Amino acid sequence: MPLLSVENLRTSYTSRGHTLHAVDGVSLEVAEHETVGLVGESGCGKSTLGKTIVRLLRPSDGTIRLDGQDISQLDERSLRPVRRSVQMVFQDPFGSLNPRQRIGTILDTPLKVHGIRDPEERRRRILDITSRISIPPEALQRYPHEFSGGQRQRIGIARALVLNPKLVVCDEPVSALDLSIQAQILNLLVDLKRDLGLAYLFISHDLSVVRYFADRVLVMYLGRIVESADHATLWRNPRHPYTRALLAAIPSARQDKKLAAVLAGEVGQGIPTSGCRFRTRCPVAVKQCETDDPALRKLADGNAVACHLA
Amino acid sequence: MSLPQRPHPVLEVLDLRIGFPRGEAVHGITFAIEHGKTLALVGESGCGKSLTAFSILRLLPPAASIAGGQVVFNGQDLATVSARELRRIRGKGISIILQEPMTSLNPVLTIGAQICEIIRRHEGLSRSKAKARAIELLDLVGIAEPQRRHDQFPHNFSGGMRQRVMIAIAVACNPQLLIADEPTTALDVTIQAQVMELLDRLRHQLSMAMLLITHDLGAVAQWADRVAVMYAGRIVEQASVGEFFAGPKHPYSQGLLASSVGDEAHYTDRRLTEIKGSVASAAGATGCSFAPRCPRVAAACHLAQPALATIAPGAIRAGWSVACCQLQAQGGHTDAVAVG
Repeated sequence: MPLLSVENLRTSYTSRGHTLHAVDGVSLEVAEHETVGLVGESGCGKSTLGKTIVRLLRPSDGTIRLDGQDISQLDERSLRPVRRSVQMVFQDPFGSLNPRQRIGTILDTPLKVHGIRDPEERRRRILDITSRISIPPEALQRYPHEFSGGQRQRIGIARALVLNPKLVVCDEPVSALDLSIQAQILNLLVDLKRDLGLAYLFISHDLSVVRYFADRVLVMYLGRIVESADHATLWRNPRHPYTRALLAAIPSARQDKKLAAVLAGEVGQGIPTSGCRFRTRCPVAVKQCETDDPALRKLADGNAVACHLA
Repeated sequence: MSLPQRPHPVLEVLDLRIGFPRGEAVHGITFAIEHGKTLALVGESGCGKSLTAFSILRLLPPAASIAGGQVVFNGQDLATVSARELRRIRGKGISIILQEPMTSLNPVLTIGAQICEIIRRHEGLSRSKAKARAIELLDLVGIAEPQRRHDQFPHNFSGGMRQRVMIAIAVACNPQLLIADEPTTALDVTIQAQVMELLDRLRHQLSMAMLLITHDLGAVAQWADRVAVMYAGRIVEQASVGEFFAGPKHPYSQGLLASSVGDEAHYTDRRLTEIKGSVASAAGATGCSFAPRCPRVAAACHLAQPALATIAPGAIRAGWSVACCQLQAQGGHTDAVAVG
């Protein structure tokens, strides 16, 4: 049984009577100790999906099973025990820490909330996690503004891990950081995963980061998953034209590899009402794409793709 | 000097210093941009690359000021020209594109009005002629239905489209130099490629020079001719893009290039190369500001700040130069011979 199993998930936002399905029928699985990457451009619904999985948002349809338990419609009270095993790391290390709390308090609160009464035990767990993220114990007395972006992100990671979760949803954890610091945080996440036996759902707009980091990559476009590929397939044989375009758009430090295909148009410009959602930007669209909406098909090698031509 | 005759550069920045009341942020940097070429200024946040870009047109934040040095454009020192003269140059001789396409357009004016403003100001065209030119420009930057788009407001445009409008405004008066400060950072990957391709096409079409400020080495490799790497307010390495990516010399440049996620890497195979510590660790120390993070640090590095010196034949502004005591100590024998 997978650790996380999401089926036909749909999350909608309603404003002035207009409903937008930001996540529109997504199914995915994350096994224990697995890192699954989720990529897509802004507005594709990847952050909404992440927030729905940790149940900061309530889905309008579908199921989210964590260790077999359906958490998709639980109320706040019944969610509490669940939150111990699924935690989130946020993008902005400047906005996600309370500026008026000391680091010690920030790390202590989740433990208190989850009923660890013994102060000694709480202290032990906080010191254990801070040593893993290379934050010295003195830092617990200090405030977030005294730390750099990279250190704050370490603290955000510590806050997520202090409860010993099984699954951590990382929402763009390095995109606000400088290149040299990004590498530090990515290496840290890899170490923590190995030492603590974590599973990650790693959300990013940056395919170069995701494909380095993930065992399996899900590519999202306008609320749907269009391709699920393991690491080797993504490298050698990406199947969906959108995935190929994303890969081609990564500027390479190797000069001989000039940008091949630049995708025309933008996400959300005239979303087609029939057929494939990507067809208006797709370089290889055919007649069938205008009428039939391709479903995510399982392939023989365990990967999946939503394209008539793949 | 016995250098071969080179065309006069469009812009020459000489020993530029930018100060804040509590200290200096840019400590004397020197570079030049040739006609029709792109110079990329790379570095991490806080290294002073954006301040440098803003100082060229004297658009610094109120607390900052140019503390020394020259910015030579067409024989004039922009650091000291009158405000009146500077207004004639901004948008006409030199234009700038900012990072944030969402906030750099006026939300209550139509796109057309914002493009026409600059054309009428600098070229003195009539209202109708300016409108015709604005529509032409929208078409030039790849906006569909320019006639209709001309009368729309910024909120009708997506991020990528707004950046195209910003570019249209910037190139409206055929500037000789375009400063692009992280022009694609706020945009999606597929849109980034579109915008960079547009900038590069316009650069050739209008024969502009470009100063590209970026933190993205991939973008540098793809779109620039020369590169200057900044660290903590100084240029630590300057070279042609070909030379640089074939093998950067400064330990910081090497670290930057190594820590970008490689083409074939996977975390089970190998770890990413880190640069230890953070920029802040340099504060207040004497000697090389990269020394606290440098993997090749030696005792000599803590004595004095190394100056930018050429390691290949040619002047600092044209050749390959590095600011590293260790390279310079041995550079005269090994590198210079190897390269030149």
